[in-house]
Amino acid sequence: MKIALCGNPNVGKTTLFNRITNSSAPVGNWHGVTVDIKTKRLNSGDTVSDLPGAYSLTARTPEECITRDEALFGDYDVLVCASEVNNLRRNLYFLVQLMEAGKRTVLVVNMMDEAKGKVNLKLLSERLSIPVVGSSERWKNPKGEILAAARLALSAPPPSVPYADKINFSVVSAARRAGINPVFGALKVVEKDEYVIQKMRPCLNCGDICAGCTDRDSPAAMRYAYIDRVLYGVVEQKNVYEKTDKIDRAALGRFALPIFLLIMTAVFVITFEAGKPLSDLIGRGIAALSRLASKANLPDWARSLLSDGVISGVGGVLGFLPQVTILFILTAVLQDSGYMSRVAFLTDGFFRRFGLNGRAAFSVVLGLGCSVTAVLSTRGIKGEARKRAAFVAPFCPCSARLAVFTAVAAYFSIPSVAVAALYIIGLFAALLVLKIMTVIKKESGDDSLIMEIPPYRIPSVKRVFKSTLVNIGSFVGRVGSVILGVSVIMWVLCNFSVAYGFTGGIESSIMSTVAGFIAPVFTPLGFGNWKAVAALISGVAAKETVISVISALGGIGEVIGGGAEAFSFLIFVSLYVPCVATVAAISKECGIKLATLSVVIQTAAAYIASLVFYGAFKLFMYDVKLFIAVAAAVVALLVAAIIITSIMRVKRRARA
Amino acid sequence: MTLFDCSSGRIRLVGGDVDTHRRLVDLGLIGSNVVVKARVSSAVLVDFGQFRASVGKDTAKQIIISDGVNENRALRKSKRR
Repeated sequence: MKIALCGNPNVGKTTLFNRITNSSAPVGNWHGVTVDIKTKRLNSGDTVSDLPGAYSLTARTPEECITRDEALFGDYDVLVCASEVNNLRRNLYFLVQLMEAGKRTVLVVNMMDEAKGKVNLKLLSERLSIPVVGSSERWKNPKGEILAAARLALSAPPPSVPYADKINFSVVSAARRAGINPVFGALKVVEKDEYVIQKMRPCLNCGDICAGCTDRDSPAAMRYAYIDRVLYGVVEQKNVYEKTDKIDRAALGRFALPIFLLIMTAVFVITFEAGKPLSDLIGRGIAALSRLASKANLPDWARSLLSDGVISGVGGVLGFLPQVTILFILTAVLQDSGYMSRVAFLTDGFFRRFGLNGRAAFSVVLGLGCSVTAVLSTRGIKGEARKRAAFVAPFCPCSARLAVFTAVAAYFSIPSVAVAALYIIGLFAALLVLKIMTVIKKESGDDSLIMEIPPYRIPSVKRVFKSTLVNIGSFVGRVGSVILGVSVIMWVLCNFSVAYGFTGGIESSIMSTVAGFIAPVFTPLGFGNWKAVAALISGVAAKETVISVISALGGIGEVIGGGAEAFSFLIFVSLYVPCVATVAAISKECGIKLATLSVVIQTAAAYIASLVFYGAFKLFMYDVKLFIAVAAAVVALLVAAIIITSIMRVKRRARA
Repeated sequence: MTLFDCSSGRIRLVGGDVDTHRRLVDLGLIGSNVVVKARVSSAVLVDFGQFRASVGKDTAKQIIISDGVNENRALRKSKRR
């Protein structure tokens, strides 16, 4: 049996999928989490697919198109339509369209524990004439019930809607008006036969074969009238937004933005400070292990590989697991609580100035964890704004870059405020790129932003834990695979030379030759040595390897000179080319040309930003008065540019 | 009066391009009572009774309200001027 899970966004389809198939696909309490189809085979041989959320079979967004095509033309035996108990009226609209299309369906009423009143599922099943199953995350796994209901639906004839014979098909009435057989007329419309269509007199208002424009809403009215009849007496209605209203008065009131900034600041401070003690402990443990390995009774090359390659390399990254874990927990809490939808609403006006919309806020927050996820989440954005969002998503430093920031900042005692500034630099760079893109190609973000705002809920410990575990697993998995591989490769490049084989040292190694060739380019940035460049090159595979390579090449103090050089290095790391996985994701979403352009622009932005910072620092150290004069000139130029732009905008508005 | 200009009312008509109109009608908005819970420069957060959603400014201006209450203060000010 082939089953597809479908329904409106944010009703718990993926949670159901995870429970039925014992998987761990990502979930979140905001619209647009699932952007692709996941399919899994059960032990019984049945397959279950999780389709992206859709409000209707009239698809608009890419993921709704996927769902529409799969639901109507996919080879599924049964469609299991998930719904939310407190939103049945809207959720049943999708189910009713599936029934109209003659699909065998099962209805799952989810989140039953959050029902604010009594729900009579038996009555609902009788009225719809399809099996109905109640479900909740806090109840036992509904897998058995859903599969049994699906088998029952499969053995029954496809359902129908009671108003089918009352439909006044627009083509039917138009064909009858023209004296043409309705079936023939319908087929001629499909064939785009201009003559017959002309005969059926397209409506002058909409240009379509309609029975008058007011009729185009009659199918929806008919469906909702049926739904209202079905739901009468089934659900006891109560206000689920009572507590949400109280919280939203603050979260969406006058102090909405300060509250949001406060929350994000708290996330950063807790991430950096709370994880530090454990991180230091892990670091000391790894150093001890490395020393032990260097005394092992093994051949020289094996001892060096184990101590400098594997333990230092991998351990250097694992030391930042506490900070990364805390960040994952906090972002999972924010997502699960329902606050992220409010963030999208609040920031919508801000993002629109840069050709995006509030949905980009999701990508920004996801980008704190992983740039790949941030790029993939842009599928929920419509039009040109989607490509723009995917293009700039990697500018938001991810958890891998955080590992680099934390290591270097800890060594040079750079305050956490300065590290937070790196995120602001990334955001500023992204906004600048977006503004330039908007000027080059004027297109506003998707305006028809109708985004559901769910009620607040207390983040479920189980969901937060699961989400964090998945992200940590991915992080550690990357450490175990890519970073281990890169650490070994880097060790080989740093300990072998073409002429002499294993040298046990880095001075005449392959890496020193290659990186040494490129290094002078980075001298104006303050880190023009081959070791720093080697670390940056390795970061193309995975950003965490920057730290592991630095560890293998002698440590942070050996590779990066002083505090200013370190901050310049961090600015470069925060902005330069993302990891290959992210580039691959951008290539998949936007095409290879944009992906290549993204790499070039990010590297250029990183170079320029580092150059400006380090140049300003050197100027300040050289001649304070000259530095002040140059800074004043730059500020004056910026102010002049802002004033001129404002005057031009006012003149444009006056003309309009 | 449009959804963007009022604080509450009943949705009478939905305009917009074909896609927007279809989406709003498919949500069952026509005839529903609405309350505007919050607003920013580019969108309004609307309580549609059964659910709440953020509606973009241009889309909100396509939704015609009957029995509207409390016009937008800014609109009132601009009319006075």
